[in-house]
Amino acid sequence: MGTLRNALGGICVAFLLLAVVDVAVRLGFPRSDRLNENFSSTYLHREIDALRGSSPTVVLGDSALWGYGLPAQRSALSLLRRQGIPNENLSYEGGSPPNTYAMLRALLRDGVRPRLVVFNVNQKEFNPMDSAYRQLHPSVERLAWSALDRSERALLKPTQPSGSDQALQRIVESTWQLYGMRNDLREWLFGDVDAVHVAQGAIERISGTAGRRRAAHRPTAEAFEGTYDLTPLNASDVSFRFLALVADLLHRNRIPALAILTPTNHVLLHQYVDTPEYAANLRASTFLLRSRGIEVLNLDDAFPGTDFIDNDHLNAAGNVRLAKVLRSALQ
Amino acid sequence: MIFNTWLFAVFAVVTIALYWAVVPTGLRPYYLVVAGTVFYAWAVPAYTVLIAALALATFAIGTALLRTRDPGRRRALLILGVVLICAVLVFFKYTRFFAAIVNEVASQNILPIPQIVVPLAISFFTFEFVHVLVDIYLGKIRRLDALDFAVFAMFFPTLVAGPIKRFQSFAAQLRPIVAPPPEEIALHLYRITIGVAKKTIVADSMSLLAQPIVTPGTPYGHLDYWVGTLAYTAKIYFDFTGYSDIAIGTAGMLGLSIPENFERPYWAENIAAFWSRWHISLSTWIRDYVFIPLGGSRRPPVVVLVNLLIAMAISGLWHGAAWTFVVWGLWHGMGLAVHRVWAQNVVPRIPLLKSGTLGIRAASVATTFAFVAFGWVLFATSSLASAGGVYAGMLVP
Repeated sequence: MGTLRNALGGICVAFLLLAVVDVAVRLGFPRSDRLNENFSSTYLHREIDALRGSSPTVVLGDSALWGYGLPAQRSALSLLRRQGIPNENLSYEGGSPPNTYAMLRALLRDGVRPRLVVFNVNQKEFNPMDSAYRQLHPSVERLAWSALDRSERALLKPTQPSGSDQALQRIVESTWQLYGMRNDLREWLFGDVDAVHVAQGAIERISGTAGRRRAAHRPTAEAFEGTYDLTPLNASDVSFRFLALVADLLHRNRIPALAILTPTNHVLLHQYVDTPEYAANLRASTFLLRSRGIEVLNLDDAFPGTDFIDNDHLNAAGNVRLAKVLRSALQ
Repeated sequence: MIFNTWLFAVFAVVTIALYWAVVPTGLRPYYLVVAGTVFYAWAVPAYTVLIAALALATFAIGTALLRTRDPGRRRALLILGVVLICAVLVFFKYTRFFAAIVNEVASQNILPIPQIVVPLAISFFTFEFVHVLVDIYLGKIRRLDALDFAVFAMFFPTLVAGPIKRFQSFAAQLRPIVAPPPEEIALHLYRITIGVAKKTIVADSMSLLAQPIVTPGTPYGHLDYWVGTLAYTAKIYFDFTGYSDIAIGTAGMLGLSIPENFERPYWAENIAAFWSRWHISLSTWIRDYVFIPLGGSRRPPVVVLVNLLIAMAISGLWHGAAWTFVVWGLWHGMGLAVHRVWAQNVVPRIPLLKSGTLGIRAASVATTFAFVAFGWVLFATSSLASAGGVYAGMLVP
């Protein structure tokens, strides 16, 4: 009996410790300038929860507005914040019109009514070959799937199988914050996801793989062949349909919005994007948005080639310039 | 159902709680059969019929074997049973592989490559069924109770990744099933926790570093392949021992003991010792039901060496239907053959080797580890060409 009592006592103490840590995570986990690289649905839910009742300026973009390749503090939206223009950057790598729509639905469902929504429209995301063309970010999918109508879900390709295990996973993650935010916690503690990634990075640097990888990834025009689908945009394009849904939803809810046509590296991509078809598609996006009363800021060809890391990601100087443009647009 | 999922966690907790708190002692074996059926049916429900039918056929043939005295009929029954079980295994696991070989040899698509979903744990339960029939034939099993056999066949902790159980020691624990004392429960819980940690923390992390050998390609260099090989060596150990720990711990929580599968294999001083410490339940199965029936160690030396190669090639093929697994098995068969010749003919003549000093032992452990790690490249890659690419990347700076 003594052993049983000890075992039960040990289990109780373990549970108590977990509960204390959980409460500490709930109360003390810091909010960052933007979503983590591997943000969880629990973390996203927490972010949305923090916005409830306020009317913030919300940014719903892709990696271009997230600040790909740069520390969080050097992204354009962080710079803007430091210049006294508050905003909640809910952009992430893998964003697209379906993702913007799902996020917007989740925000509205959870009682967040933004004062202004800023989002970007990236022409490459209208390409069915793009990974986010009809797929939501897994964490967004988990959080926003239930907010979508059946017909909208039918247009999307789920990233996670539906099943009892997924349902259980959701229940555990929503009740046990520490577990739900394990990736965010790891990223917060170690910066680069985890120790294994750091080790991998070190090995790749020593072996020269990192250099070879960079060389293979060096932006050349050929590397982006097929990235931009120049088929005329219409309702048969799933991503374009979601752009229309975004515009309709904003219009219906009378939420002011600013759509940014994503800065694109025309110097690098000249042969693919300086074409009448590409220009026609830009016009189609602009027309669609303006017809629903959405302000459009066309930055497609507004930045020199030296401001880019690759096809559509701005470097530090480019982000400074973008912050400046956004500042005057938002003011 | 896979072990490292919430579904299994809930299933195991509910099953074990009901097992001890609600189910009467006499009904526990029946309950285990039902739990095993639910567990198995979760993946592809239709295949529950397959495992049930094969278990039934094995039981019927086993019972007939026990009742028959005529040696000729007994032999015929054994052959019938083993062929039936192996045919099911071959059909589900190897049809695609063999069809691809035929097409490759003929240089045209003579046979269609069928899309067959391999039933969960088919490699494990078929080997267990063969063991039951052979042991009945050899007189090592003298009684085959239907309920005991059903529990043996449908015991859910071993349905995912073994260990391959032995009927005699398993059935002996069923009447009655004794509840483990609290200190043992704590040990089983600890074992399960360690198993989950091995799988999710270590093995899954190592997968990232093992990428160069799993998907070799242009960006990777010399060091990546070496690190990848070592990472895969760690990954496969922690992955498999993790699963075994969860299985053994869960079985323990049900009051049943199943065989240990690993005993610090990377500390083995030679490849024969490695195989007595790695996936023990499989290596003893291969020894008992392949190597010994082929003549074991009593045949002429050359025949023994060939038998080692055959036994290990079968072991390789058991792991997966691809040439890489066959060559991996042959690699180990060759290692065992060379070790046998070395141990019998070289070691006795060199006093230093016989002495077993710390230095010699350390060198032996390092050599065995390197041999095993080198072999894992074959196990990890999807084709012999990829494996060749990795070896070239490792050896040619």
